[in-house]
Amino acid sequence: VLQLTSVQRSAPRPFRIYSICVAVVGAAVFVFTLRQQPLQLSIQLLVVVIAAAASEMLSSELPMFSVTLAYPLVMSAIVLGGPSAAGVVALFSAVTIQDFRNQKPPTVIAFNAGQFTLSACVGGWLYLLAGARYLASGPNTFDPLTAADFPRVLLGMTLAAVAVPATNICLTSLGAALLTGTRFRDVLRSALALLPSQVILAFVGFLMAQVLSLNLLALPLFAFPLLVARQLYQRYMSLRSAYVDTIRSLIGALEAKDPYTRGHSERVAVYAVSLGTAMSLEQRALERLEYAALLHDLGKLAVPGAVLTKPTRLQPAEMDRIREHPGRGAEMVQRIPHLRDLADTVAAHHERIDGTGYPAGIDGSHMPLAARILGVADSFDAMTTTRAYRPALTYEDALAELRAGSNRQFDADVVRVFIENGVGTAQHLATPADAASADSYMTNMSFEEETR
Amino acid sequence: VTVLPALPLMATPIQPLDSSWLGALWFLAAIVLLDCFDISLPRGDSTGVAGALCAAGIIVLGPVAVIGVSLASAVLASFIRPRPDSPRQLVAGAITRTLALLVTSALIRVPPVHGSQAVLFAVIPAVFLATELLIAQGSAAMLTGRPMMRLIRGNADSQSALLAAQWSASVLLLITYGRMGRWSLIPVVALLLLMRQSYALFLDVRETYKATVEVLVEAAESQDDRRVGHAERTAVLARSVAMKIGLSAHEVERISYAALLHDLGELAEGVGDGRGVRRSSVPASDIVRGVAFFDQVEPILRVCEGDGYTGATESDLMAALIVALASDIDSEYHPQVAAAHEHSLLDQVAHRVAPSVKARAVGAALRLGYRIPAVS
Repeated sequence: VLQLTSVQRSAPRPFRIYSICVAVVGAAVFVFTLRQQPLQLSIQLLVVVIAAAASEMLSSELPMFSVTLAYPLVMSAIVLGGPSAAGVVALFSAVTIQDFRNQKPPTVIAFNAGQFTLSACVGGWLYLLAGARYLASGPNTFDPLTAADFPRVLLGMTLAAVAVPATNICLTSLGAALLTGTRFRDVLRSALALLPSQVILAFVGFLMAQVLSLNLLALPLFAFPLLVARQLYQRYMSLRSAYVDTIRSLIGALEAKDPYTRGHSERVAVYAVSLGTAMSLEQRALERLEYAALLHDLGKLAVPGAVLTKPTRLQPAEMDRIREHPGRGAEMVQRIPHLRDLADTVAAHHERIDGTGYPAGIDGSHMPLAARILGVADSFDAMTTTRAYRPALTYEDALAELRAGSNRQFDADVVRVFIENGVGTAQHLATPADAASADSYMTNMSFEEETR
Repeated sequence: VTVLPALPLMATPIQPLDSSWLGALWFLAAIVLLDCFDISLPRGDSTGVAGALCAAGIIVLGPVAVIGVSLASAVLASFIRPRPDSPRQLVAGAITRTLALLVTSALIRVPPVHGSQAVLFAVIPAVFLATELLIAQGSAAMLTGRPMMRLIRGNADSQSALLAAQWSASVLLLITYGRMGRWSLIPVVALLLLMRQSYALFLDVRETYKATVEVLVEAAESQDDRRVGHAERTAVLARSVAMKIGLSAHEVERISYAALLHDLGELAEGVGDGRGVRRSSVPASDIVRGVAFFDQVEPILRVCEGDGYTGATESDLMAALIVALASDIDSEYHPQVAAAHEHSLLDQVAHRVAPSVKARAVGAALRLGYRIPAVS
């Protein structure tokens, strides 16, 4: 189950209004549900409520949400006691002592309670509307499902299994978007990635209800599978979030051997992500752009340092070696699972809009957008840092070069966004340590050599 | 299906919960589905969660029917899978599962086991899963010459949680099958798929880390023709020595990363800035410090760097010795690597390690057939 985790005291006004609306609608639906379908109390339901409250302590933290194990317990409550039982379990899992201990703002607590209770009640009603029955037949008495109840129960279960997480994800994503100022579709897209596992969890909840009605003592059997799944997922998330730091650290160390390009990839990544953000790219595209930027010069690590730092004009063979680096980098990126799709971007980051770039000489229409963004970010950083063969250009001179290359070397739209948004101004531009030895070469260099 | 259990060896004192063809077909479909989602392990084999259904199938379908279902599912899954098993893998997998089913089925005849339903439901899945693990690891030990007990312990360490979860799923299926019939397979398969998915995601991201490190080190090495492939070969060597000794999967992975990264400092060393200035080498441990994924690798690198690091544990020293030994063995076979290194890594590490530890590592390398460089 997704819940907002924010502890910021001053939530934006749109979020406050939204959270109050969700809380009021959730409360209204819950009261309506309790009146229409009175709650049948039982030890089994009490156990589920306690487990749901305890599951909060095992939540996995994501950037904007926490994911708890309460979801199968709510599904279990739907099958055990219908929508009213589901609403009670949702309420107890959404509002816990920990929320108050962590000083979550009342608006966030009210929102979490409202959205989850609403989601649970919606799922519960859909389950009943599909013709499925719940198991409670009186206080503490249950009539477990038999083979004859199928496939009707399965239909109800499937509807509830999709409705509860879908409602939860949509409401929470909108809340997170309003709270953090992030685009709704970006938040929704990252949250929807959780939907398949949530649907599967629904069936676990269904099994839980049947086991509870058959033998309460068998409930601990669910602990192993759920805890194993949660632990593995949490380890996956922590490794995934540390991945970009790992690449940054290793690339940074290897790049540092050339004093002129130290920190280049990291700066290019900063420029590229700023550009991507200004161009309204989606969150996932920005993430991929950052990886591509960090790895764009991977092939250059294989070029001898003597060539990279040569202060004089390069020989044709040396130039060929440099020109091979996008292709070699792409081959290497191709070997990394999860990053294979970036190979085209890495391969094309030295291509030009007019088709005179290298290694393939493709024109702008065949270049991925990420490669066009990288082309600008890479060249800007190359121009504003000192190289062995020339000193650094000033910010204004570099912009003039970008303008001059617009529609020939660079994508005109990307250059326009770069200039309009002042990308690069806030960054610390590397200053030449000693440019004296290189200044005479600059005027005679082709632009291609400048960007090596 | 109803006639076959009459075979004398397969006769059990309990009646199957479901002796219909339809029940067997549902089980077959569920096992094939789970088998198709087997997880490829980094070491080349695969693991899955279908064992839970086979274990429950002994009681639900009866021993003979479940063996038939298990064999049919192995064949079907191998056709459906995107990356089909080799015939050898297919036969080995089928034999392992059939043997485990036979052993477990025989156990049902023991009175205390079939005397109580609770004991039967708890014991049969546990015995099946444990037997399958024992047989699979026993055959792996025979094939690779690695110590069987260490291999089993290592696998039990890394997969015990997954096995326990499979056992739970199996028992849950048995508890619910009586009333819900074959419909109970749906939520149980969902539970097993959830576990499988979490495990696969975790392995996937680890594989991405490994490939990233390999690619980066390879890129850096290719600057100097003498060093090309050294890190990769050292990692393979260190891995095989560590496995031969019988270290746990976690230790083997740690050693593997340390071997890949052991020359990172030299690779990151400055090549000059065009004015004859040469930067000093950055220790590899400094580069990986602060990177959460390499927390466990850093101590090994620090021992390898020989800077008098005193915080090393026994296992860090053993790991560092294996990395150093592997690096020097590679230099022995590739003289150009020796020329690229300023000194022997083994000399730097060996004096810190107890003779018995040295003997284990060197013994393992000798048994693998490697030429051993002089150890101080």
